[in-house]
Amino acid sequence: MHASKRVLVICRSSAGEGPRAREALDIALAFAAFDQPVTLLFCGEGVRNLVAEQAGEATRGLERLLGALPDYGIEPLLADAQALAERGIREGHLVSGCQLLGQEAVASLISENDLVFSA
Amino acid sequence: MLFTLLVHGGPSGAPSSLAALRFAEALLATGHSLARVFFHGDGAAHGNAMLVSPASETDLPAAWQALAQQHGVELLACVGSATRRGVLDAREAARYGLPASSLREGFELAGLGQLVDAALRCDRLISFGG
Repeated sequence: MHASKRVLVICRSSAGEGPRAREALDIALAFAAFDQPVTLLFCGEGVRNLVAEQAGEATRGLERLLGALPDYGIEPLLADAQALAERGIREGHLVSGCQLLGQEAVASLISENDLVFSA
Repeated sequence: MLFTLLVHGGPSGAPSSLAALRFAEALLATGHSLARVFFHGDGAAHGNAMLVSPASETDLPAAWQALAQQHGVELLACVGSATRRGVLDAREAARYGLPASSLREGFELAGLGQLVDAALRCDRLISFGG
């Protein structure tokens, strides 16, 4: 067995834009399924995926998937606080299990992981 | 050094996809190893056998095919990304009751487990696009 690698997946697009958000989560789930420690960060338009109880087929499907992530050891869901503020999204709008990060924390998260994926 | 490349961008005009090809050529030319290229998201369309590149642009799928043949590089398209973009091998086509395979020769469909495997074995994983 290979040495474990710390994996960061950055989701930068919203489910409303197309399949990229879902495909980012698929990468996170695949590494988690192979017992790698995975951190999931939502940035840019990706923070829209964290808004609870949205209408729309794609966003509902994604919200169900977000709810399943703790079962794979992926928690909390990290959100770029600045991206939320820019879009007028308050913490109270988000699904449960989110944690907000400032710019410095985002930067150190990227530097401390072995593998960083962005989609 | 052993590299894995992950290509998120499509084969039709995404600058990052051309950069991925050039990077692969450069690393092989300088004595590094490349075992696997994984095409994910829009990148999976590189495996589309029915894609025609304009004469004025680099035919990226054909260039990858040639590189893979010459250097023994595996070209893997994510099966989930590929099927939702109409890229199916004979087995997937039969499974969904579709009339034909549309997977380009030299490419294979693979699960994300193959990306995980490559990422854990290589020294460097480089992503393009996304």
